[in-house]
Amino acid sequence: MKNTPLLALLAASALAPCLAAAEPVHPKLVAHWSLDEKVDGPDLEIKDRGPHQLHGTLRNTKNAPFPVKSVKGMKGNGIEFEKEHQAWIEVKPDGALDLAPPFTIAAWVNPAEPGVMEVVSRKWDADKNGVRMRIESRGMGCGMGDGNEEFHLYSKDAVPLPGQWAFISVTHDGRQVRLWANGEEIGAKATSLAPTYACEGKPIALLLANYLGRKDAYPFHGVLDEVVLIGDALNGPELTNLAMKLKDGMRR
Amino acid sequence: MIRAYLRRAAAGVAGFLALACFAGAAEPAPVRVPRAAKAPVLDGKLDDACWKANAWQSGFTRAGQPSELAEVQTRFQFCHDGDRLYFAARMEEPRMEALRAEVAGRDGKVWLDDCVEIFLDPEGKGGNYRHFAINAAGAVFDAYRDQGGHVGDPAWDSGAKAAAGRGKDHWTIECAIPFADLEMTRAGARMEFNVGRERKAAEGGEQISTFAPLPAAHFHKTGFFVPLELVDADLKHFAVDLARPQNPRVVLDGEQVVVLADSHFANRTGSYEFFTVTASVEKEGRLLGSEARPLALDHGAERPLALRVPLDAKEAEGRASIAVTVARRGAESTPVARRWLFASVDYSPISIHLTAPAYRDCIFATENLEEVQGVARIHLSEAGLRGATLRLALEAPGREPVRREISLLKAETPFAFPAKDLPVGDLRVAAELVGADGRPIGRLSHRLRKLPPHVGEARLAADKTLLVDGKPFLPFGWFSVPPSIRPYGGLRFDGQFAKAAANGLNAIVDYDFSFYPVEDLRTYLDEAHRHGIKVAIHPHPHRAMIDPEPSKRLPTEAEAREIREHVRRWRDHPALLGWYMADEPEGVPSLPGNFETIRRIVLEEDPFHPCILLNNTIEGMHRYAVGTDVLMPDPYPLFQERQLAARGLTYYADFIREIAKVDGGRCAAWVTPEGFNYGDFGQADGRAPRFHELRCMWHLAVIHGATGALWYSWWHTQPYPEITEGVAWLAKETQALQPAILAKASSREVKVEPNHAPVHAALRTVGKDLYLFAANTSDKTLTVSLPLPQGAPSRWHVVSEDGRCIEARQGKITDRFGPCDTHVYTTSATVAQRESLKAAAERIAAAKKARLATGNHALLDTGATAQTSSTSVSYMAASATMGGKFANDGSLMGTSWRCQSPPKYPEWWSVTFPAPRTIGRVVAYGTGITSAEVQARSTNDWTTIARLAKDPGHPLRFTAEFAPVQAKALRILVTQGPAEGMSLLEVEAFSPEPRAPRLPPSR
Repeated sequence: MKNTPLLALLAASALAPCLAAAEPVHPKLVAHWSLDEKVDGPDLEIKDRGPHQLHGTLRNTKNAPFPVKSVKGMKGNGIEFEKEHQAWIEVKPDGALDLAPPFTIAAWVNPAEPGVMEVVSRKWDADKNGVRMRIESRGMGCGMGDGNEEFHLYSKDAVPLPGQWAFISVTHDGRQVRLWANGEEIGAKATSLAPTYACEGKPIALLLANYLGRKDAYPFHGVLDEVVLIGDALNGPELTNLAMKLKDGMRR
Repeated sequence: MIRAYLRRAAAGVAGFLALACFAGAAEPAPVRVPRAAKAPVLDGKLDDACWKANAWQSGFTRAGQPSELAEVQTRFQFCHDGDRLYFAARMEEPRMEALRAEVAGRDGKVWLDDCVEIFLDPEGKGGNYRHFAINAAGAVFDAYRDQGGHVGDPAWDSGAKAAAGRGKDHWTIECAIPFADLEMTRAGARMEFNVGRERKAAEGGEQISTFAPLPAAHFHKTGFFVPLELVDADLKHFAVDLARPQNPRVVLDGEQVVVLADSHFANRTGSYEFFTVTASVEKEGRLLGSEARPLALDHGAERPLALRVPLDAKEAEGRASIAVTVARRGAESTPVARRWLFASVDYSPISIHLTAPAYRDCIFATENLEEVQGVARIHLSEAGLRGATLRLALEAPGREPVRREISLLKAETPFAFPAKDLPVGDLRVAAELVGADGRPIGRLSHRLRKLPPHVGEARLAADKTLLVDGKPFLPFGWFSVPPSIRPYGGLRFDGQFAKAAANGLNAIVDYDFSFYPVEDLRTYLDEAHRHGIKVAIHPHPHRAMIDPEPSKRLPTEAEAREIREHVRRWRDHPALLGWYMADEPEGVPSLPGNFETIRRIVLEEDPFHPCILLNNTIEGMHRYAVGTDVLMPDPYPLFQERQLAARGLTYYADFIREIAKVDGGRCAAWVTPEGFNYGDFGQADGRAPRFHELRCMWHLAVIHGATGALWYSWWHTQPYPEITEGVAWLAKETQALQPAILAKASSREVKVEPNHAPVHAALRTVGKDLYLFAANTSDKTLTVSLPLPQGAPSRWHVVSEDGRCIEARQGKITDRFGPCDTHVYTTSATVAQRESLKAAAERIAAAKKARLATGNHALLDTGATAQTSSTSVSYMAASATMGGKFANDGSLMGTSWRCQSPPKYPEWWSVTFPAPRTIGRVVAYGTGITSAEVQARSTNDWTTIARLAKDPGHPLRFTAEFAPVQAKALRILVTQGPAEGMSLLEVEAFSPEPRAPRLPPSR
């Protein structure tokens, strides 16, 4: 049955109490987009299982057959994004999303090819605000700004690799930013920079799977699943535990 | 061990068991291994539900008498729980009072007791398998067996556990074997196995019985294993690749002594998995330290592992086992893979490593050294290094020390001293490490020697190639070429050294001559020297010193003295190549310290010749590297009739590549290729390698860095002209390619396209010329491209291929490779045309023709097939046909047919001709023949046509001449012989006007 927006809203509202009641994956969970929705239409709501109900909306810029697919993810479904269709999930700015150290951004990714692609994008390229986590042409990286200066960090290891699942994370404990893949640290640099989230006075939206600016610049191409924001800087074993919670026993 | 056997075979004695009933037998139904709802409790009681629910296997037969049920039976069954294989057995025993169960502890000689033995071949290919033996007290012996079972490594320890129990008239065992120890990565749910029993309680002597019927009382016959099928077994989680630890080192991290090593892991399970990787260090069964960390990887992902184990400083000495274990997270008690390495864990804050001189810390007379160079390895943390100072001095007697003081230290701090005009004798590099606070942290005195000139000096250059008298030398030869000096079982084989030398061979390893009287050994070495052949001999003067037991301990003072005298006596002989330290010591297992001690004696007494050691396992190379300068493994591919080989040809690559990682790459890499028919030694389906496979083996080793080859073995190749002539031709080609083969320092791997193609390739540079070696390790025909470096010429000559040239296009050579094909491309037209593969083929064809030209109708080359009445019980048993062929393979060397023991006369050997032949003369070579008839068969019945008469002029020859008969088959019927049995080395049958026999006359 085709999923009309009304039906989707009704379904979402019916589900909402159940979602809210599920135990959060971390006591300091800020947001958790599990991407389990059966994506078969534009403007589909992508639920946040976190305490603030920061639901996102699936969008794309082209009138095309649906540019995303529900596929098996690491836990339940994930969403497969096609590069040329440049779809994304948009979450409206909210104070709850203004992460201050300590924080963790994490997601399961399975990129389809090498290249630069956004995973969590809340930063303009030419601005010194916001935060982003993305896959780079070799490895992964993050960027953030506090209005005065920018900080960038790139991994020393070429993880994640195309065609393979990896649980990637950025953590900031207030003194150091670290990059992680599968629970192992792959980059670290000292900084006490605390990101801010407004550009020219306007709060910055949060996008999953694409860049806030030009949508053809760094579109995500591959499968994305279980994006989480946590108000604590997790260490390696904690990230591994988180990854295990965000994975079910399903085999490919 | 194969080599102990071959020493006996050198005297012309071998034994085989008749097994006609096994010819063409259908494969038995697999024994099924159900999944247990609940794992059994290992208490020896067999009262668990899993044993009660399933059927027992029984019907053991007597080993060596496959049609006879064992008098006292055994029954067993298997089950599994997805992580472990469980085994239960009940042994009926009417004489429980005589039950023997004295061996305790792990890896003791449990086979001296009443015991059960389990053999598991996870891949079912017969190449390697796991061997477990459990005695009636529950003591466990386990070993990794290789080369079809001929060699075993009991130092391999599995996680197998066992318990035993006893009843009034039986005893029992229960055993659990982790799948992780069976390396299920490449195995499926179907394995091959056998179960055997050694019953010592039997009256009148030991009784050996087996589940899989066996032709001999020897369990290690993989060709007779039967299938074992795991039911409801999800083995995907074992599908991981875990590399054995390597590059071990012991450092100080802060205040903590830490053992570091490297490994590599790949997830092939089909899904993303969370693992726990545990690195540990164990010594003599004690856990000294371990460290675990998580690892998560998707299927197909791989990563290097940096292993780290903190160690109590007091334990940081001697040798220990460094292990890496991988388990699924949450299931750490049931690992999915385990690998280990035996290595030194000695810690010292400072060590000195000389890079020049690069070998044995000796400056040789033929070495023009400008500087003594080295590296001080400082095993401190970064904090410890800060502010520390290294004070060095080169001390020579009668000279003022030359001093250096180095601050700004690094973990590896280089140093150098001038080396010109240093005096002959002992020198020292003295080192003192002083902390930032001025207090000494450690001191060291490192000895080096300046040596006098020595004729026949054989040393390793910095690139680990061999230099003899300062000139490059590529040893290429054989094991066991018989000299003229001594008869083998009454036979002499004169002229073999001359033949070997004429065939371009320049090196020999011999097992026996170290132990002959001094004058005989001198004559032997003189003969070798006359023919330009170098010889490696044992450093031990007595054969008893190389027996298993002495090699398991350190030499006594008396033994050390004798070794010292022996080395001193022979070090100046110009024929000496080096000292042959050990042959597959891991199968004993010998104590590495034994060879380490002997090597120290050799170094002291004879720094001019290297020590050479042969291993059959990669772990063995690491473990025994302390005892050698040259590693010369024998990674036999085990060529087979129905497939290329039981192990792939890349097996070679693995061993030779590994040598560069053993002990920091200190050792030279030589190889002992498979130059014989392993099927002659009972390897199921075995065959002799073909010429192109010989060439592939050698060039594959070269590609991966080998700079010497001693083929196994001259003694056993005489029936195979493709091997004898093929290797001789290869020696010539090797001479032409010697500069390229020895240009190791210039070697670069060439990444073949497509990158999954099983072709290995390497590029070398000699002056202005390039050489590209490429070998196809598969039995498929392929077309691959070999990328060339930028600027490389486009026109290449293909070595030995009769003028063939190839043009590179777009910077690549694209060429076709047949199965096991090798191409060597070069820019040197001269070298390319020195030898010819066509000539090699002609040479082999001529040799085959010459064998037939003797007119011997019994020769197996003519299509004649042999049968026998029986074959002796031997651990190298074979069928009646195989046993019989050793008496018509055209060679008196190597093997013979021997009847059963005790014999049941009359015993006979027969040959069936492919078509009826007219025979008038028979010549037989044998032992233990008191009375024998020659019989012929032209229809169905045998008719005696003559009696064999002993030739008084020959120790082993018998002849019979008779009126010509036309016969379809001929038989030697031995009616009388000694109680210990008889043997036939060779039987020849000629027409009434025979040509001269090919076999050498007696002296």
